[in-house]
Amino acid sequence: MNSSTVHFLDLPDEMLIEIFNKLSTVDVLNSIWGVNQRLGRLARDARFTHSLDLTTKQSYDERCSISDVMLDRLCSHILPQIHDKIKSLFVEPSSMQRILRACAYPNLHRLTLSSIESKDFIKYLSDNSPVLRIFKQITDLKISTIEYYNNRSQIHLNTKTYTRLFSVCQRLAHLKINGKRLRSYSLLPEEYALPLTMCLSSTIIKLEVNVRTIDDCLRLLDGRFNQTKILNVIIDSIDTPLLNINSQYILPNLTTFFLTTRNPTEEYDNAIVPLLRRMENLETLMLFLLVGNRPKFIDDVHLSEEILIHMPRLEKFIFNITTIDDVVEIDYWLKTDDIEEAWIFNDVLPYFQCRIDIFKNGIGRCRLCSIPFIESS
Amino acid sequence: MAGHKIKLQSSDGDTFDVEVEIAKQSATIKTMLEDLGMDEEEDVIPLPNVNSAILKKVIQWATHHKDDPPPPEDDENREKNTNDISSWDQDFLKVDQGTLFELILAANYLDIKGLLDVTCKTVANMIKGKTPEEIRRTFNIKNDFTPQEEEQIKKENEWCEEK
Repeated sequence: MNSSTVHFLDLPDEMLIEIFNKLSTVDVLNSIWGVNQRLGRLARDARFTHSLDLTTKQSYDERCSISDVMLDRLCSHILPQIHDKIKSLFVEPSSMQRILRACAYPNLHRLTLSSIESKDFIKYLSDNSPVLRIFKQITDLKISTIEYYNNRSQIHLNTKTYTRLFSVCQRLAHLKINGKRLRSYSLLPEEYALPLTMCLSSTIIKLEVNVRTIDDCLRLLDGRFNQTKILNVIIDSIDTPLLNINSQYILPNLTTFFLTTRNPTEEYDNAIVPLLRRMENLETLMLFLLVGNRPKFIDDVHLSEEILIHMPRLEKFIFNITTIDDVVEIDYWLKTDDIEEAWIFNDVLPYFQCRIDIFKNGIGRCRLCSIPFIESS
Repeated sequence: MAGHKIKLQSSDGDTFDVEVEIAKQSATIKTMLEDLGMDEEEDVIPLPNVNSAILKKVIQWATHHKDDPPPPEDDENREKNTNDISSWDQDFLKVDQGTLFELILAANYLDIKGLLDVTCKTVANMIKGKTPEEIRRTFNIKNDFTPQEEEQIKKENEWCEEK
């Protein structure tokens, strides 16, 4: 086959963009920016400048800084030229200060902070912080790996950090906190509240957070985040609540609720059902639950009569509920092992699938999930 | 029908007999066959944007990948990964740059998502980690910035360094 004479620059813009789309935005800016006029123009395209991830993957959920050479070039040359285009930044602690100080970022509204610790984070939020203005303007903040619990001083520091966060970030509407190591501190007394749940915000519309106990979840819903419309909460373990669940008020603003449990709970009827009944205005509900030691499997009749009937505005219900029962009731023996059936709740609600497994030792498991099936996040 | 063939004609007039199921990996050809009712063996599908050498390579690729599952939908949020090119594809794409670029153009024209994906990833790997000067050398690109623009860039760098 003879060599072709087609040149890189003979490719049309859309093909060059198709190639650049295979690269990270940092690779595009670092390698393409400044090659020539045409490629420089393409590298300025919104898809490579609106949202920048200035980290590299270290392991499954750890990020580290990009190389010093790339960081130098970005901070001293490229970011100052595109800073008014940047709407979203993803940074990590070792390079964060340099990146945030590189230019003004007048249109930055989303910030993702990877692996940041409270002791560093609170410095960025202090009155004399050179990047305070950035936190004042953002509307969307995602933080990962803050340690919530370690000891009293850590809890105190975290509480102070969140209080300061809500005081500085007056425009913050969406907050997502991916807290790690909750399980390690599960031996702490139940009354140790998640630091976030000791703070107040009247601006947060969407809150995504993982918590340790059902009481943490109840605190989030006790009115301290009174404007929250969307709550996505992952609870490590649900035991008997210490707080009085029934005395709490109806949640008029909440329209979307996602609840995931990490471990099986025996408090479904005492904690989850009463909680859901406070959500009269829900439009979207997602439940990913593991329920243990319940006298009956959770089935369509239960969901319909105990939960859905109390949510007249519900439009979307996605669920994957597994009930594990040590002593299976005789009714379920009418079905043989591994039965799979599909029914419809009614004309409005979605199709769902029910799978019942009866094991020879008398233990039964019922998995009820909506179709199409969606994995818990 | 298994084994049923059609004829594809390149821009330079060569024709290739190709099994319909292999040719249908091209969404462009699939649409022609379905919309225009071109399903007879004597029907010739003209492909005026693809020369004979490139069409031969495309058919070779499509034959090897005839049993592949459909490629996944694009997901903007998915981590960018250019290291998942199969060893067969890597060997297949050990060609001169011009041929690689022509394969990209052909994959785009014929709308073969898998081939476009793997060829673009191969070029992306040639770009990754290089400085602009190395990119110019790799792809033989002339620096067309004016001396004034070059000077402006230097000044911006000095200003940033003084901050």
